[in-house]
Amino acid sequence: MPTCACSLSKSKNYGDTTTQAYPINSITLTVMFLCILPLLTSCVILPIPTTEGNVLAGKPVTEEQLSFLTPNITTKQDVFERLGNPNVIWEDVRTFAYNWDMRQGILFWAVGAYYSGGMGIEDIPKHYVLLIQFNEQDLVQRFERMVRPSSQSYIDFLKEWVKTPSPQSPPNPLRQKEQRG
Amino acid sequence: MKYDGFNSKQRYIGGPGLWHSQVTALPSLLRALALLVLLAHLVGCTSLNVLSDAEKTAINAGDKTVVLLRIECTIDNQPHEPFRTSAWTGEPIVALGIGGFATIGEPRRAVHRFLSEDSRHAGWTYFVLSSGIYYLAVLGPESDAGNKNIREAPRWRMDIPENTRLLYIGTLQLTGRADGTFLLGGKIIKSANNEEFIVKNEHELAKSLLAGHFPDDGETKTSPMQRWHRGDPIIIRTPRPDSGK
Repeated sequence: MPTCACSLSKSKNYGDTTTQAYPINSITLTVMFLCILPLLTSCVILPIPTTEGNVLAGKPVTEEQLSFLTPNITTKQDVFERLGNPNVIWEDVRTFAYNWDMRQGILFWAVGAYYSGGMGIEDIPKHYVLLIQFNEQDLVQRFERMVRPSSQSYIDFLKEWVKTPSPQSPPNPLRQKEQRG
Repeated sequence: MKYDGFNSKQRYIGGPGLWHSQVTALPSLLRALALLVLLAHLVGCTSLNVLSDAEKTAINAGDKTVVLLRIECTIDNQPHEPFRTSAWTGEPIVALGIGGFATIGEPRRAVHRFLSEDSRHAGWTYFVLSSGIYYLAVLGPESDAGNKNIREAPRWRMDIPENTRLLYIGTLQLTGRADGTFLLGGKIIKSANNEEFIVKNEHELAKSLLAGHFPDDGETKTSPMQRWHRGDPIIIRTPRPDSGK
């Protein structure tokens, strides 16, 4: 009968320590393991980062696509024509928001309890937002392409951005290059 | 040794573990089942969710608006009460959700409120809202409308003007079909709406209903809700600072 090679217990003798190995039948060990297994409850959550290749929702807006945006020159109509309908229009603060989600990883999860369990894979999204604020003449006042933290609600994120005192967007570097060219 | 659970009578007949059970649980089970069926019928009597004193004050002051909506429902071309709670599922066949500024239009389930028992039977429901832009989501008619994701439901945009006490937003027509029956009876209802919903204007009916319940709150305005399709922008407006009152 096969035996388990590992030492499972020690007997101590003060002054003279001796280790005594109790060979355990592997079948007994398996039975013990199977008996204990149904009593265990646990879960495993394993986030696995991935490259940002997959679009989970919305239509991504690249930095290059923003080259036409110039504060105090680009009109609201231009924005509509180039980027389409925004996802959110905050009327009274004259702000457009374009949203899209990219996959930044996957979350593997498994839950086991007694004799049942479940497992699955979820996408971990990265929430991108392009925010464009217009002035009273419907000209672009400022714009910013940002990542919204998952821990922050969308409305809080928008409120924070609107409150941020940056009346002048930095000049668009891509636009400057184009003009020089 | 005596075991009393479920009126079982056990008798030791010898040997280890050898007990003879004379199970008399069946009548108890039937009694429990009958009680459950009775309860299921009783839950059909839903609460009207009447206005609180604070809401009445806010409406009188013009800070909040009573927004009235009617839902007309037909199942297999026969009229059906949209807010009657199903005896078999314990849920109404229509679920409503509202999204506003705080949720950027994403609907959250709304409690069904009724001006009276008669108005509930006729499909009238109302919300108490501050001025602003809201998105109404309507799920159903479906037996499991209460369990479905309200965010997937068709939506309408509601524009609540300032200083309006009584507002009617239209009568929405929904259609459904019976698709089999539950194990213990009762029709399984499935939605048969196509994407083109009809919103009727029953201003006069709405006006007389509201005038009966709010005689001192002035004229009823009508602002029909507008269909919102996926891909349309969500429009939000900053709520008035006193709108939380």
